[in-house]
Amino acid sequence: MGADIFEFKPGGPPADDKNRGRDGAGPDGSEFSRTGRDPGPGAGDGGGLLVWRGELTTRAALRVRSLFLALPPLMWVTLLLLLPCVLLFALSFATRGEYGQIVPEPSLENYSRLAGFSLFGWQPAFFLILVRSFVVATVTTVACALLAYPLTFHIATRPRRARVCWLILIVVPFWTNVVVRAYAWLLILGPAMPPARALAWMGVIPEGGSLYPGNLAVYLGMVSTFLPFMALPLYASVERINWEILEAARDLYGSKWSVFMEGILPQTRPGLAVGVIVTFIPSMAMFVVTDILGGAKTMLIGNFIQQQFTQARDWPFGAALSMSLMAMTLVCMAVFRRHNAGDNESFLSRF
Amino acid sequence: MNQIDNGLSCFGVSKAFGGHRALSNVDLSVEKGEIYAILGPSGCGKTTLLRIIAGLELPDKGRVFLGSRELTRLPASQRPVNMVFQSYALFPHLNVHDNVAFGLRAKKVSDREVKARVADILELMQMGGLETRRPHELSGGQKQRVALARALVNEPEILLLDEPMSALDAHLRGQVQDELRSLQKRLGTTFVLVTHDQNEAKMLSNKLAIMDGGEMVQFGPTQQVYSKPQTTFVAEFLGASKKNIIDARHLSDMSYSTPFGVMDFHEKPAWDIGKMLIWPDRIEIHEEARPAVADESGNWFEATVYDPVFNGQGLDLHLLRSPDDSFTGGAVSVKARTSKYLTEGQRVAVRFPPENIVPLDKYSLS
Repeated sequence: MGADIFEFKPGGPPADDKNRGRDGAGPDGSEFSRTGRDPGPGAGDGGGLLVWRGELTTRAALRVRSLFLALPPLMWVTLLLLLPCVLLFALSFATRGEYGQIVPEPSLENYSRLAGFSLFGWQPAFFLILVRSFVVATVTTVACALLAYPLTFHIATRPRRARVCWLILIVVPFWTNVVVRAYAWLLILGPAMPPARALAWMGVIPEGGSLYPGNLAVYLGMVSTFLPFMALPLYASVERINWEILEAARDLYGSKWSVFMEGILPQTRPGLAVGVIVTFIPSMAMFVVTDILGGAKTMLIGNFIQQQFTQARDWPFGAALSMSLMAMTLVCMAVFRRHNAGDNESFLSRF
Repeated sequence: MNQIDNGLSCFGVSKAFGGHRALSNVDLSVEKGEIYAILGPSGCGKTTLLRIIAGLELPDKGRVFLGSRELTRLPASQRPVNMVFQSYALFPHLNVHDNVAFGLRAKKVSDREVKARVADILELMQMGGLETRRPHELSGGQKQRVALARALVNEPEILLLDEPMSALDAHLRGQVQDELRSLQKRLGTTFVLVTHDQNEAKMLSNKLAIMDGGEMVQFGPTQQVYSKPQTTFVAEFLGASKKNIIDARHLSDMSYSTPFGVMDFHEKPAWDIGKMLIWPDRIEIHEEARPAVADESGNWFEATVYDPVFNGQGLDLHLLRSPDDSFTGGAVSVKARTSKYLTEGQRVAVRFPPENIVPLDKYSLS
């Protein structure tokens, strides 16, 4: 904010001091030297008039106002994000008591369990869960991106009124809870419904079988949940595309691939980056959809953490798992950011 | 159909967008090595025609040829034609060198040749040393040079320019026009440019076509179109003032009655009542009374100078038929341009040379 303040510095003494001078002492030597002096820390801020975006105000007033405006979000972030994170971090070093209670005895046991060391020697079970979660999140994100490109281009090339209708259609799923939508998929993929019956008829699945639980059901649920998160930011970029650049690429003998790589991708990169971030992060931690549609077959980090806090009643280990998930997600985002940072510095500087 | 060797020809090109007819039955023939300007008001279909030539738009009807080779259904990426876009459409994520190299790389030209040809064209465009700049670090004039270089490096048979000067500052335009002309002379590439600015068309082109409402209204060598516009629309579009477009009515033989008086025409128009044009700089003005030597049939009139304005070289002024006219609403006057020094209210003798009177279209009530 500071860079945008155009400060107004009158040559003479500040306005309110001038008034005081007229009322009281008058411009005698001592008075004049007091106001003419470089204003001290408090006095200068109170008296220094400045124009900020057309508004005549003082630095102190601006500071009070910006603090006032920033206070609610600051409190929100502190109470609901920072504090729980700190608590969770502290919790991850505690140990589980006999009955599932938290014993405040600092130990690194949770992290050594996390690394695979247990009473029975080293097992990579946890790594497999983490890798599987990463794969699911990556496949979901890539599938969403692949679906969102044609979708957003289709919408962006419709007449204005139709575009609004399409966007509403994308947003509509948000009106329904994720759990409800996951159960809707159960119904659709059930043994009595056409998809399962068609596949059973073709002999792909046994007669009377259903299409869940399994990878197909999980990915269908994940992609349908996260597609709007990818499509909306991408649409914002696609809508602003300069089509002449695509035409220039074609005019300069560009193939379809190079038109995409040199014409479309650089222009939609900001939207794609936001889409990837808001799709990848929650899909790493997703457990509702995978739980309902994946059954017990596919244990993901989200489900695993949820289990620690519920069935297993091992909060300290759950906290340690959460920390590892957060670390993994941050690493992924850092890698993504570095790969994406070649262009569009202006956009990424906002992250 | 008569096709010119390696020239560009369009036959009966039509295009509609929704219900709007952008082009109807347009013919165009451009000879190799010309600078051909297509001039018209915005929405007249000139850009659509250019885009059809580039392959960025498919005509509903009609055919496009380059020499004897038909381009009509050839994709843009396979035409030996390159375009300089109005917004330049430089690739924002590529630097100057990579922008210019784009076409050559797409054509799988070897890296060494790409390097040499890009360096050559940037040298020619006086852009050497700016290879690593990105488009957003360039000025308007520099962007235009990059756009030109990016198209010309492919050695196209035809270079298409869409409003090439519109994004430039006024003081840059004259310079860029000179550069474009000398560039064209050096390379011999055919230039087809589209503009709504008659000055630009006049300064750049050696052939000119004027379009209105999706139709070709008049075309020919630039000088000829300027000296002999055929309709009021063309005359006004080429900068003629309404004051210089005068109603005329046939009297006898070559004599026509005009609000200014009876005038002799050199060229007999096809109508009895219609409009004529005389360019301001083609009116002769004599400071004294009418010279005795003057030829009797020469359209001499007495007139009063009104509102003279210095235009940089001489004066732009109005010639009033009678001194009283300045006070009445319907002043009969024409605009004139002279290098003489004249003052307001001065009585002068003026001559409308018959050979410089251009008959325009037939009088219509609209």
